[in-house]
Amino acid sequence: MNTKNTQHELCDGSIPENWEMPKLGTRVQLIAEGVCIDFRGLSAPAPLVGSLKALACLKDNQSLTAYYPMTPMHLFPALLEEGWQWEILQEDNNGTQIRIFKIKAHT
Amino acid sequence: MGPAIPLGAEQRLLPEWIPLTFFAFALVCLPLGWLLLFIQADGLNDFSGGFGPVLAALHMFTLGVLMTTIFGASMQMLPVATASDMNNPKAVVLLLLIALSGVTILLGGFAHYFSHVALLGASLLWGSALIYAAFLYRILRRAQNMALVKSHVFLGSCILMIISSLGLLMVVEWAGLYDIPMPHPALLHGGLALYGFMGLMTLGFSRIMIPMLAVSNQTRDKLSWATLAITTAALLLWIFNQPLFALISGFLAAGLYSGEMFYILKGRMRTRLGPEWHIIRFAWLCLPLSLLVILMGYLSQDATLFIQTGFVIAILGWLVSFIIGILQRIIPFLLSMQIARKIGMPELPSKLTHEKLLKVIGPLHMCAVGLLCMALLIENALIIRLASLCGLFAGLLFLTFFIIALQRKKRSLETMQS
Repeated sequence: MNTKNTQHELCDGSIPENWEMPKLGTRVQLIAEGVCIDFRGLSAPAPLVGSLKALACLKDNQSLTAYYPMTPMHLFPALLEEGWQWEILQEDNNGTQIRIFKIKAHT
Repeated sequence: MGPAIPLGAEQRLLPEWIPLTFFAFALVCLPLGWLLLFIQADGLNDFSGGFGPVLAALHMFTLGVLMTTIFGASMQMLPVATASDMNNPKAVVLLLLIALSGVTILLGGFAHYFSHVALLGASLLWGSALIYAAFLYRILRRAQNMALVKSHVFLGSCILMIISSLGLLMVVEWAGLYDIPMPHPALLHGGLALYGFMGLMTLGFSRIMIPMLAVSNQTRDKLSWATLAITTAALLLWIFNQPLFALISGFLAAGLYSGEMFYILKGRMRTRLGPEWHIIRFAWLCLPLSLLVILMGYLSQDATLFIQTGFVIAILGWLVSFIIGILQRIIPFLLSMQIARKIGMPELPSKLTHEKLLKVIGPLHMCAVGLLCMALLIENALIIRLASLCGLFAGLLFLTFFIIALQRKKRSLETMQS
């Protein structure tokens, strides 16, 4: 999959705080804008639950960049309820890459 | 940039009217079932099996409410959850037509003692079960990484074929065309239908729906596998006419399942849960309770009374309650996704939800179930009527909730498009 040219490094454990998702431990990486998680290969509801839990841990100016096995249809209404905005970065046969952020932080 | 959903995503969504027709049919059957119970209150007290209006009333809940909701939900939700392509919408429409006409004709035949009419309905339902099982098999074959849910759904669909075949045979026997060579086919059919097909579907879908709705990652896969293994053993024991061992193992599995569900809920991220969770929690408690009451029936001298009450707790207390709770969240969610499908942007599900109605529907339904069980145990037709009235109001309010959600969706769509 052609992804954005973003430098990833392993999560140092400080972000997100109080991380309690052992299944995702090695899938979480720090990037310049916040956190990146690869949910590909995980079954429902891990991508949805993982996204919402990660978002709850982010600071105001941070965003979540996530790779999903397919477009996470169930996630969008939940994001809207929580006041999150998103942009589709990439979508192809290997999955969908989405950036999720708070509107205020980026406008 | 903006909250847009790519068009490719809609490949996994059926045209909205298809799942909504399944749900609408179920929500019409819910008050109708209670209305039939109100009319047949005297008959329900004396009911110990056999064809007639009381059986029609019970099947209004099992087939009309439960089966059609399971059919509609799995056709819509499974492809989305498993990343499979949905089934051909025309084929799903065929399933819809056969299933809904089958239920209507069968219940008409039961209620009016028309065995040949019921035979036509049972044949249609058997055909719909076959189509549904084929659809499930197609979705499951392409699904990845959902071994637990796949196992529940696969086993549930196998049991669906057994119970629909047995149900058809019982109607054939009633029509005087064949004698079933077994002593209690109705008990086998009822137990497998409630705890086999509907139960396994509920257990399987719970593993997706409950963590998703409560936003909790606190699941226990090993415990869930153990629950499935014990449930399978219980169902086999029930098939091979070992009711006591079947009920004891079923009770153990039910306890493990309910325990895991409360454990998932405990680990939730959402601190505030909506009113629908009261009725969902009630459903989890009713599952082991129903088995306990049936077990008491086998251990006591008045078996019929306890078995009848246990089955009513399973149908109305566990399964119908669970479906009422889940649909209260799923219907606005589904409508929100359908708005996104049309204009690329979803609506807030809370804007489509009539919260005040939800605060009444659950307590009224729970009150109806409690009163009905009490009435059955003390054999009081007046209390059955009172319970039926509570259930009828709950059902009508839920139907109103559904209609209001549709109206709000239409208004939202107009506003967002303008």
